Amino acid sequence: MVYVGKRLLALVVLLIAISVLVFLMLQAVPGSPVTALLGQSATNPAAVARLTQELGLNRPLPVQFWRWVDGVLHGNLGYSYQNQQPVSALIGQNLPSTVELAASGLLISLVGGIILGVVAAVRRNTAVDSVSMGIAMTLVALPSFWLGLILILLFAVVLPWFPVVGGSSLRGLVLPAFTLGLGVLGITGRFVRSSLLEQMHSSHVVAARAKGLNRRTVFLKHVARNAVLPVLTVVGLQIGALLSGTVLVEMVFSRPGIGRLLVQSILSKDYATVQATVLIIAGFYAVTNLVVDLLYPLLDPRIGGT
Amino acid sequence: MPTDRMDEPLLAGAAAPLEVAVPGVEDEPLSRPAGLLRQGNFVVGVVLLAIVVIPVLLAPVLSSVGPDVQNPSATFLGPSLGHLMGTDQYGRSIWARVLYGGRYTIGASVAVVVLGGIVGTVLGLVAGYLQGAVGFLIMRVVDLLLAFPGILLALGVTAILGPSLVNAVIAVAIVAVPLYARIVEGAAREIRNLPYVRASRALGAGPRHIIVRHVLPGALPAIVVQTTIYLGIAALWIAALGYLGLGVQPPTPEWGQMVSDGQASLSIAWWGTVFPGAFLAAFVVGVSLIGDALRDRLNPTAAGS
Repeated sequence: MVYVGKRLLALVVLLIAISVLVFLMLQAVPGSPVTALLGQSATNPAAVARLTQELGLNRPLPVQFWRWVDGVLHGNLGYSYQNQQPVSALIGQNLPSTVELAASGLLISLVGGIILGVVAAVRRNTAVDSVSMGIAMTLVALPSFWLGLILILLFAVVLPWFPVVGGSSLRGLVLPAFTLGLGVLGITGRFVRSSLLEQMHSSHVVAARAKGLNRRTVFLKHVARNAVLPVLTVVGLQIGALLSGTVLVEMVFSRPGIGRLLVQSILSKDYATVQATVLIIAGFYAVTNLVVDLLYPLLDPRIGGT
Repeated sequence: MPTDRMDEPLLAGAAAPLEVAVPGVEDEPLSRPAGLLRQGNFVVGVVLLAIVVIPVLLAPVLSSVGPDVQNPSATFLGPSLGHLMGTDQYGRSIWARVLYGGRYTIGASVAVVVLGGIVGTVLGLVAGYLQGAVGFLIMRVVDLLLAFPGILLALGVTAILGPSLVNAVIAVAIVAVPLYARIVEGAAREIRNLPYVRASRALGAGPRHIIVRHVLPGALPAIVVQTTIYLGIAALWIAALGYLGLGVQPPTPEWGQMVSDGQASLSIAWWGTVFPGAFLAAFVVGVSLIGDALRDRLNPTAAGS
């Protein structure tokens, strides 16, 4: 319980720090926050006066910060003057598509990475191992936006199996999901392999082999089971890679989503939307990392007891 | 005879440090290139890097036209002997643009690791050696920066600074700073308590002397490995920002920006997208392979992971 409490407290501190940073981001933009937020509409004196009042810009910075946090906590993420919509509405429209993409990418990377890692570990120090790890290494290093375009070229242009632009259909999800999943798959594969190898050399596995258990039983009951925990760490690490990946994949496939919303709002200097998307992505990242941390003690009673 | 007996423990004690030294000698020193050359991934990495970097360096020799020379009568030509990588919608030579473009992508990535590496190393040394309130503060800021997924941090910085090559370098360097700081801090923390550093301190050496003469050299292998690995990542991100329109602005050729340029005509002129991306991929894979080999060599405890 102490462990959980400590981690929750750390999360709260982190979320506060993130929100301070995101709030200060607007102050760092050249020009006043009002002109930054209004963009094109900054020529309208009425709008300027209203927003100045609303943000409390004539008040001290901590008061402004509190007003902003208060708004965020009540679901008011500001207004996108460029899109003529509340930012929360924009996020609501784009979030499901990103979640769908990230979840399918994670699934592909886990299934593929585990297969790759297990094959490499079982056939360690053979050509199969070298080739598997070569593939893993290459997938990690390939630029995801380029990989996406190569997949489009091969499977949408040369072989017209999938749509070029990823729509909302399931067929439209296939190429984006593979682009995202393949990029992350290499990391998983390498971790699965090294974590399995570590278990294979541990004394309890040697003992299990020595008492005559067959290889299959040893692998499933003694090796794989203990290798799950490190793999969970990888899933945690992958969340960052997946989020980064969705930004680029959504741009490559012109797919609606939070990542594309962020990039477009940066390009159109729509700072209210930039702030909100950065806050949401960073907050999501912090929370999922916490969830992964809290799963450890459930899987391994040695952690968290102290 | 009693003296002989007295000698035994003494000899045994003297033998212990000798034994530690011997395998190091047999294993050949880390700096000797022969060991690295026996590692397959290092060799493949060097070959890949040479294939990419040599043409980029020799761009004016290998390309008869400049990267921005337009030719309206030669648009969208496929790869041929006359145009090794074909031409784009303005009739510009993709070969020339890929070679000259590499200068921007690779040059910016080098700038990123130099900038981020220096700032991160200094912060890490200060935090790890001096510790105290300043060190604590530095490391909490580092933790905060690490709490953002890298791309988000880079995008946030470009949002504030505006899109340009220099700002992209700054943004990606800011992502690199906490990574360096954490690694160097860990190394500095360990080294500051080693016996020879304590001895140096007892002899009256000041913090500056110890950091420069003992801690920095000790942390160097970790910094070198980190730099090699991050150089590839930096290239990926510089190109990613270029692709997103947040880095280098057209018509300047940069590999990521070129991939984005080529995307519009992907179905009729694949060469505009495939070649710059392939050069980028080869560079990143090459650098990563070298980084892996160096890590296995300089930091045996991390080997195999």
